[in-house]
Amino acid sequence: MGPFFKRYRELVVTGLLLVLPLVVYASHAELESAPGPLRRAVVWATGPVQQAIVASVAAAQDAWYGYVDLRRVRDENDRLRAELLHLREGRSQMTELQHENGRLRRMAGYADGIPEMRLVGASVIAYGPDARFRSVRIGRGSDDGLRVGMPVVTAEGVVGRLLNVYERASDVLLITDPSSAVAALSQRTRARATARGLSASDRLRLDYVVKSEDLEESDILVTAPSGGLFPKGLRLGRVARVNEAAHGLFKTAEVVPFVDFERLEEVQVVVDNGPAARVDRPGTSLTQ
Amino acid sequence: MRVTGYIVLVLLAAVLEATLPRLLGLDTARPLLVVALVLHFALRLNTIEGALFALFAGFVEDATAGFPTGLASFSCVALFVGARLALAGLRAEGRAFEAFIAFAFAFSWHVVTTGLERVLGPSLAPLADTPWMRTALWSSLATAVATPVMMRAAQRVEALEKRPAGSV
Repeated sequence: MGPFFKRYRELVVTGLLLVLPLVVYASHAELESAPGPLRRAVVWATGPVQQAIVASVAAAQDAWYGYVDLRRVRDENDRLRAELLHLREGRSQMTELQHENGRLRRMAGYADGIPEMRLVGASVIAYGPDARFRSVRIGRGSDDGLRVGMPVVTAEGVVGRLLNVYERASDVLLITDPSSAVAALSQRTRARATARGLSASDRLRLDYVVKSEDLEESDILVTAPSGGLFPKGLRLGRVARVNEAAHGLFKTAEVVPFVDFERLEEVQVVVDNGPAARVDRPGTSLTQ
Repeated sequence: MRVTGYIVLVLLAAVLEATLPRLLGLDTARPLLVVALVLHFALRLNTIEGALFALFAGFVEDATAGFPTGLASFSCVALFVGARLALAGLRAEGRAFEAFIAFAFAFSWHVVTTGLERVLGPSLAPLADTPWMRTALWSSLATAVATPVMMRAAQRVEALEKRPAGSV
């Protein structure tokens, strides 16, 4: 055994080092498995560095865009003044409509269908390096009360859900990842379907839309209450194309998400859907 | 000192690889900085030490980039073994040579990870739906550009051991 090992030591050790990660990967291939202590240690060590890099680049970009923006500020100012007038007028009309809506709700005895949510704001500190794994890392973790599976949103709509949660960072599985599926609802017709990620693009595919359901291009999709993971009524995307198959019971559709995943910088994690609402950054309307 | 230097270099490369390309708009053309270091290990270290560093580099890449544990670890050790076998006895040196082998091995790295992920991974999307070929080509090209820089950094770390005690 001794001379044999001595002779083939390099071969044996290299073989073991090759087989070990393969076994680990095969046994942890499911994305949902909890990260081990070594992986947590690496994330603990590298998370602050990643955060610092993102902050530095963002600061440099802010400084540059600030300079560029200064040059355009006069035109922008004029345009914003006009827009402000328009918005004030709109806000006045909206307040009237809100009052009217409240009165009608009370008359009809409806409960408020969309509960207010408690949100925790977080910055994106790293991005998945490969189009096959659509995930980002955010700079908040279990120390901030985050747990695996919590929905992640922006003011534009649904981003994804927490996949791995570390002490001070978390991985978010984007809704565009092929392994992601979200129960969706057409706002116009209430038609139901499942929105799945497509790794070829930042688009979603609607599956299992019954052929008789009314679904058209430009229809807005929101999260359905039946999915369980996401609160009801969060904005998901807009139907870009409906594919009518000649055979079968179902049709499919392509959906453009409202969230621009290429420019994802700040997100909100929904830590509580309950009625006791406390929002980190007020002023963002997430539901429609 | 040299071991610590390599560990820090691997951590730094993995962090930069996971963070900077997207911020700079290089979403597809991501240089695989860790792969460049694995090539250095294959060319300059002994087999067991190099394989251990390759495993460590892959593990760190798994953790920083959000890969399932073991995927990049296996690919890096496989890459190390492949480079060790393919480049044994080659005496060619210089930046052009480094860039050429970096392109070839970065592309191989993509092929190995994609293949492994298809066989054992959770993704259900058909391969035709994934832009892996385009990603692999651009990423390999970016790796070829970045590799000479990473190799110089790794050689500086390597030189830490050779420097006599007390010298500056």
